[in-house]
Amino acid sequence: MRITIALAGNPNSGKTTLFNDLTGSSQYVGNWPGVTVEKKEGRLKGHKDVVIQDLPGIYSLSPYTLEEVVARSYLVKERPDAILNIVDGTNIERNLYLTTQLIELGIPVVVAINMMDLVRKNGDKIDIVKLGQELGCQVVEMSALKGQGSMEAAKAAVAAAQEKKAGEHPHVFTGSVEHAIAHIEESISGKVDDASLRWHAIKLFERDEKELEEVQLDPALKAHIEAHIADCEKELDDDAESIITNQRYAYISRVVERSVRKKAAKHALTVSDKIDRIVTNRILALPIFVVVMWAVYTIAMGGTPVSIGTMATDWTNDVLVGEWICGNLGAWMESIGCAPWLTGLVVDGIVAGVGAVIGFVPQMLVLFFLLSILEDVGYMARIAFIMDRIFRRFGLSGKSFIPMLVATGCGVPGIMASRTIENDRDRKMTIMTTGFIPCGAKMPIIGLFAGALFGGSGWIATSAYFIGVAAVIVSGIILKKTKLFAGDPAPFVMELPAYHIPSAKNVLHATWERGWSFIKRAGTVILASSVVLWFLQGFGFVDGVFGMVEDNNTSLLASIGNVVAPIFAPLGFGTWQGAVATFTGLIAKENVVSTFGVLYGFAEVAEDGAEIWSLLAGDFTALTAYSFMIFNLLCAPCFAAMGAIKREMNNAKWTWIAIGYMCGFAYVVAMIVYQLGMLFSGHFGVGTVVALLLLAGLIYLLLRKNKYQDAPLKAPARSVAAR
Amino acid sequence: MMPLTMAQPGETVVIRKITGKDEVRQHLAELGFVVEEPVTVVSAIAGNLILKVKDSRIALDKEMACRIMI
Amino acid sequence: MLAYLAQNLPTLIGAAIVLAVLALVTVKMVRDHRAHKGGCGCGCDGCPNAGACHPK
Repeated sequence: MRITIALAGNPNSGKTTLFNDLTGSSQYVGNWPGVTVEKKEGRLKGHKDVVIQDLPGIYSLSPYTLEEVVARSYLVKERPDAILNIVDGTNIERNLYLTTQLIELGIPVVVAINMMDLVRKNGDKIDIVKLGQELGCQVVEMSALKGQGSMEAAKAAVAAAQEKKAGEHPHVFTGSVEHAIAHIEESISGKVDDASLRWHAIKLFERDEKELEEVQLDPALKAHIEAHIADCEKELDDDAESIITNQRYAYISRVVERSVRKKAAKHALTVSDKIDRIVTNRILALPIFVVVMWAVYTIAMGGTPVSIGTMATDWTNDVLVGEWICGNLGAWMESIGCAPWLTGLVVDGIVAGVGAVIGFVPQMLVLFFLLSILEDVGYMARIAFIMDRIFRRFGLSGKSFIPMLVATGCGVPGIMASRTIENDRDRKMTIMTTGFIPCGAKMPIIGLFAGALFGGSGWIATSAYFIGVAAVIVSGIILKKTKLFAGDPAPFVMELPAYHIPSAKNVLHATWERGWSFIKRAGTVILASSVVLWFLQGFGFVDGVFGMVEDNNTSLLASIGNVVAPIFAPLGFGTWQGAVATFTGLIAKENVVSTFGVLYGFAEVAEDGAEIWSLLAGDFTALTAYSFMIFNLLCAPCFAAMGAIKREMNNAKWTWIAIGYMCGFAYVVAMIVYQLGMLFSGHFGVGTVVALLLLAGLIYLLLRKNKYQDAPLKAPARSVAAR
Repeated sequence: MMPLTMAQPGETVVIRKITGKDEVRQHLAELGFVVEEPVTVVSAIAGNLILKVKDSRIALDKEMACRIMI
Repeated sequence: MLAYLAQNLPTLIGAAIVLAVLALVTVKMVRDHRAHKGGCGCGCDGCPNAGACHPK
């Protein structure tokens, strides 16, 4: 007989770790119907007939956020056989707030107190037997991170499901409130499921809007209930919702007092707090952030003696690909009698293209590794808080910064991370600007130019990152002053997890995930694109005859490229190679590098042992390289990201607006950079004038008065209501 | 009574009232910001606060923090 | 005919291998697209920063 166990708990309570522990690889990830909240379910390891349903992390079953609505709809309508409630033992009082509500649903509940290792380290003692008695359900101990207690907790939940007996309802509410709730229970008895009668009654007492929508009550009954509620409110001089909330916490305080003994004074500053005092200090916060990011990018991609990333990449490019593969593979193929065109395809096409990208894997791995550490330690959450102050001045909330943090790995999850932003306008704006942050795939472009033209300086990568951030802020300012986006930013409320030593398992796993998907893309998308490109650049019309060409400037690809290239002339890279590379970047940003690899004969040059990118360096100057880099960093993202934008916007018009905006912005900025740079070397022409005008236009858009600042606007559309 | 934004970093104060009657306030309450609850200010930048309430660390922007009266 | 095959065998095998690889790649890409798995990982568990947007 199939049993379903729902996993419920606060965000940051260790639910995901537990879910992974219990289900291993038999997970299914999708979406809750009709909403963009992720739905995860899986089979309990070793139990074919037990399904574990993961619910979104929630603080309560109120109808305030999408996650809460999704979770409670599931619990009330689908009624799983048992609930495994994960509670963070170091944060018991707040976590139990949800627990009391879960118990009221009338479904068997097993409470699993997680992070027991930390609880013991703090010197606190939790009497789980007493706690279970007070709450009216079974309580078990767990330390998911250490892998202790997970299966036992699940088995306890299965047992509870099989017994089908929900616990005794504890006495949470007092006096007149309990009285009113009992009355309501009587009044609605029969209209709702008996087991969850209490839960419904309490929700009606709170005047919960979702509840009122779903339970059909005739006007007389509604008035009757309303009278009871009003009486209570008058007696306790507070509104119904607050009364319930306060009484819940009062009850929890009593429970905790009786079953938990804390060692530390409740409000002493912990180590995490002390670190936060420095890291979020009003003067030091930003400089610390800049230094941290600079250190990350320098170690991964800089040119200094500690830049292990670059050293490994150089070795890969020169030795692995250059000597071993290119040198030997070509010779071998010829020796066994392969036709030259095939040799050319494999060596100059596939190996050159894929090899160019693979060369950057070491740098990527180091970068992903360092970023994962920052994430696991908990620093990234603080960044959102620090940036909120800056963002708020420009009409955005710090919540918009989280997707940008995520985007440093890959733009796709970054765009999807915008779901956490409730304000619809802010959300659209975040989706539109997240693509400005250099993602993992854009890094090879940076690495390439940094190596070829800037002496491998770590500053190139750092500046690219901060240009991305600046682009987001500038866009935010400009867009907030337009009618489409004007309005106050949503309030910023975020829970900050405690700092902890990064778990090697998590960090290595995360690094590997990103690294492997990078390599996979090299072997698939990039490989296919390289083959196509090789054909296009290897064949063309010479003197009216179609055939293989020696100099790829006369190839088909060059002809096509030359038609498009003039668009980029004002930006400084009006060569057909540059144009083609930029376009192939739409398929996958790494393609820019692999295209150059194919077009500039990465393989041939490598054979000769000459400087790998000297041919490329010949076609670009430091200025045009930088301009090219900026354009590719800021312009439309790859197809995968565009698909994500379309999914999140759910609206064709907005998708095109987003993509168009990114391309337009990239073009303008790159042009300004190039033209003004040329000004310094004495060139002054039409382009310079246009660039100056554009710059002036930008400055105007940035500084003009925001006529929507103080105008009363209707409340920002909330994503919950919109769905 | 004064707003929480006026408390000093490192100080522990007690919540007396939370103004406003909307969902945001309810959300704050669910996080542990209820009347009579002690709150410690860990850090402050330009009115944005990191607070410790009921053993958890919550970051609030100035607008929200102003509505909590101590 | 046979002589042609014998002479160009390495080329034909090589070309066949390349075509096979291309076919596999294309099939995989189409399948990934249907299953909504983007190049960088569509589901948020592909992203190590998932802790930031889906708090565990």
